[in-house]
Amino acid sequence: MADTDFLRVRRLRKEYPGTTAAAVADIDLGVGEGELLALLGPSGCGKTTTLRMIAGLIAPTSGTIEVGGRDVTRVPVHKRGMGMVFQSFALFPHLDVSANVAFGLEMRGVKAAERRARITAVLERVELGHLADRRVGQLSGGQQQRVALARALVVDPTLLLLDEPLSALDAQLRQSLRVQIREIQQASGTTSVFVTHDQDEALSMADRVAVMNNGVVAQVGTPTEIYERPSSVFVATFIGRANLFEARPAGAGVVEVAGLGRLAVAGSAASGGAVTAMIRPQSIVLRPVDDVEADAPSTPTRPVFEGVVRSTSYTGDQIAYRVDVAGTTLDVETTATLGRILAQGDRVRVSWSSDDLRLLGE
Amino acid sequence: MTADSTTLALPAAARRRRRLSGAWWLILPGLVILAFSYFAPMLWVVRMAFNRFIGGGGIEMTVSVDSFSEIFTDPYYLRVAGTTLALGCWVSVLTVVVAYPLALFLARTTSKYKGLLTMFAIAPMLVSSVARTYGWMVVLGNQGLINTVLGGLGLTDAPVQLSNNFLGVVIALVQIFLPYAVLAMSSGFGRLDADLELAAASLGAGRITRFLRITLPLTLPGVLTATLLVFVLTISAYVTPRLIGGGRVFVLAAEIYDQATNQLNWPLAAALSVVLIVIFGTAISLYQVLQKRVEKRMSGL
Repeated sequence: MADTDFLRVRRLRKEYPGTTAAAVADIDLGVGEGELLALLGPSGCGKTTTLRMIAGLIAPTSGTIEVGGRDVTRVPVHKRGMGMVFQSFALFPHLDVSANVAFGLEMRGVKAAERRARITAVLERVELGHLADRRVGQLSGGQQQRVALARALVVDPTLLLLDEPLSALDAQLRQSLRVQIREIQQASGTTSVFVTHDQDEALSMADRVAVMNNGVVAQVGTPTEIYERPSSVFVATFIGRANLFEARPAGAGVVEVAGLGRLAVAGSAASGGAVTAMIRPQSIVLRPVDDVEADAPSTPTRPVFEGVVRSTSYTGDQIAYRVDVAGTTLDVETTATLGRILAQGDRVRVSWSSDDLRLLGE
Repeated sequence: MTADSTTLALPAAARRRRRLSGAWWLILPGLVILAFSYFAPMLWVVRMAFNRFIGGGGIEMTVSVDSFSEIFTDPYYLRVAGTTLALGCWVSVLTVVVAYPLALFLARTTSKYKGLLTMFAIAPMLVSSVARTYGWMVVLGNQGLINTVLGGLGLTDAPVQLSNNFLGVVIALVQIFLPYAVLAMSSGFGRLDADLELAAASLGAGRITRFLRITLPLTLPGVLTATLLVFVLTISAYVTPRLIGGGRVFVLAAEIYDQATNQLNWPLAAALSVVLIVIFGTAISLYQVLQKRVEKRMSGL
């Protein structure tokens, strides 16, 4: 958390009466001005509770929330000046599109003429200008989603909060709205917090991702940091797929894995007991044994192992293999354009760069 | 192509016909019961209203509007109709005002005792309204609970007149019809999504604005239904106005009973019934116009 952060959450905690574990346990978060932070985690991890505390919809048990240097922890929701997009969209069914968007402006006492101009502008921005007089029940899910976004943005909120804004929509619409929401957020420069359980959504839209689990933040970082250098087994397995090896430290930057022997790893090993090493399926190179290039010798930085293809699953652009290597089964993913498709029982050589084999924390 | 479409079209049409006739068979028992117990007596009442009363229980079978002209010229009957209408309006408005917060609470609460609380709210319906009316007589009478307490504390010199008058009837009827209003409203409050009020709050609406701009408009259909229900129940109430009114509050239902059984003036009783039915009809039509307008706004379509 940097001092320059626009939103600062300090030791924020929420306990619900009658439960033993805190829903949110003393988390710290910082979001820079204009940045989009995704709160990512499985259901029940506390991400929505965190968002609702930032919005002022839930009172925290302890901790503080600062926006633009001002402590808003005790400011009631209707005086926080934030914009929120709900999972259910929460559009007012008795009002038409422009009246829904106008609501926040009326609450701020914006004059009718300026109100009209701002509504027109924001509806243009979400490409709904032609539907201003429609009732919200006549709109499709994607259109309702954009009305909800326009309604939150039109008031120039200090913060834009999005609670699973895409999860009520079908897969194709989600894809296109991801891009659109991201573009609108960047164009308006609004500092935003986005809650999702969908790792693709988080990685593709956010400047930074905070992975949450059991009420605590497991890791915060840019999408590439989170994906390539996960700090824990939980983050490694929650984001994308991972091959995990139980290992024992064997000197600096070297671990011992049963069946595979001594392997060079990236990241520092905790001294002593068992550790976990991780490699992404895409980082493993797969060659048939008869391939000329597969003859490269095994080196500490580029170990090579022989194995047998156990199963193949072809999904168009990607091929996912499961390969038996020295008593363990590895997940390997290759792009379909590279070479021929291997079949079950084919003998192969697998190799990887020691930079891609990473040691994990807990 | 033509052959194909006919072979395809025929079974579909036949299926539709069979389904229609099936539906008719299902509603037939209900229709038969309604025909004997409702439509026929109703026609008989309307016919009776145009007969002439010739004293001592005699009825001349004819077509005359004597009974109606008696109702619309005698100030007594106009006053009875006026009292009935006034009672209907007061009781329905007051009941809805009292029941609304209760219904809203029951619709919103996430308590695990929600079922139990709802049962408490409608439990008074398990006791006959006659029994509850006697209960109110005990509470409201001049030697009743309230006046004994007030007098005993020296707060009042003479008993406060709470029974044998319009006020007493209103108090008792509001309590008796409260469960109906709560039920009618809370069933209509289902569409009130809690996120809507949170969304309004996040947009800068305070508590009162949220209620006036979001909650109230969205609960209006339930409010209208409850108002109509209580109004209709009130203007047809007989026992409570009779007992609590103590012979001083005259309403149409009681007057109809009196004319039919004591005066044996069946044509006049029938004509008064027709007047009551017209009031019902007007109230229901008004309700439907309002409800349609409100529904159209609420549905978001």
